[in-house]
Amino acid sequence: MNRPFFNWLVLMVYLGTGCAQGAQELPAEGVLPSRVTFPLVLDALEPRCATMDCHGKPARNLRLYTSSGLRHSPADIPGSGSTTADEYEASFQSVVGLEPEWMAIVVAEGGMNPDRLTLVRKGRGDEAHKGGHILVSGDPADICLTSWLASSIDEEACQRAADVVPPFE
Amino acid sequence: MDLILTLTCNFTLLDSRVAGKSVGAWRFISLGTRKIFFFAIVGLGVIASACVDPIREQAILDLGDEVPEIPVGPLHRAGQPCLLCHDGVVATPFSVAGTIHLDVESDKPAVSALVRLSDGLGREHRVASNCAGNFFVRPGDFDPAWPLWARIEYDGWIQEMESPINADGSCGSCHAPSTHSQSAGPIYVYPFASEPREVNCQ
Repeated sequence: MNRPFFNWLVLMVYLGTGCAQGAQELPAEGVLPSRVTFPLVLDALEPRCATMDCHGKPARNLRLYTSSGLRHSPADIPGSGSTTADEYEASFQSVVGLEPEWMAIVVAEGGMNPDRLTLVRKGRGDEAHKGGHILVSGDPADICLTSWLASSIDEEACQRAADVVPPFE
Repeated sequence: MDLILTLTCNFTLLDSRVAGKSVGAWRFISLGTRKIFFFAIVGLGVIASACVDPIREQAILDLGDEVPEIPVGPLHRAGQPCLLCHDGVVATPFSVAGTIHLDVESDKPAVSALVRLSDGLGREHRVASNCAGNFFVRPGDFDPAWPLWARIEYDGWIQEMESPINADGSCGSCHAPSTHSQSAGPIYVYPFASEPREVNCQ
């Protein structure tokens, strides 16, 4: 066996192995996290992620609609009223549609290794994120999100995460 | 960019060849050196083009021209997103800046309104608005750790943001002149129309 052919063979084996390791078998049917409990998650993410200078603007790939940020209806104004049903729905579609294949895999596997989702990695600061390190692994907001992905939402953590109060005395 | 293109064109001209022989001053420079110089010029051109943010440039153009009666300075461009230009590159850097209006019905400025800022590390900074309603904070005085909370105090009235600021110290980025689904509208103190107040910016 001559040297160039051997090198090519080694390269093909390496690439083939790498491709096999990187490939994930998609669930037979699309698996999504719970739409019913998503409002708890959005309320927890709202003060951290959905403000108008971050994901509460249309320019973002992940677009979140909330009462304090980007409104879904042209008739609504940021800072007035409550997050509407349409806004919860639009935000849910945005979150699950960001990486639908990986979302399906993570949810199908019971929320294991949620950092396979860019949503989690960027929020935790494990990947370059203009918004910085928003979620701390293990804090209420992080628990809320990851428990939702695991189809076993921690409602108390979500409520604690949503309860954000201005610091002024 | 123009300079780079000019240098590239001159390089090409200077490397003119007549009857297969290089002419001009470049004949004294080796071919390898000339190639390095050429690619260096091209590389600089690529870098220069990458440093221009067309979206930001367009956003600055969209702000329009200065009001002729108001000189460039602390009183200018009230209500506009200050940090778009005040980023340390185009103009003096600010960490937080904006405009406070007196009431929800008009663009009258709230002069000497107290702006309290509290950042993610629990540090607080206070600044007052000027006679145009503008306030600005330099990074050397206060460079906030996000999230940042803001509160305005004026004449016994308090306006407090219900949501934090997470990334953009330009109030005008979110508080556009008009109210709509993507803008909370101008920052104001009184939630009602108020009596006009004489303001002297001299």
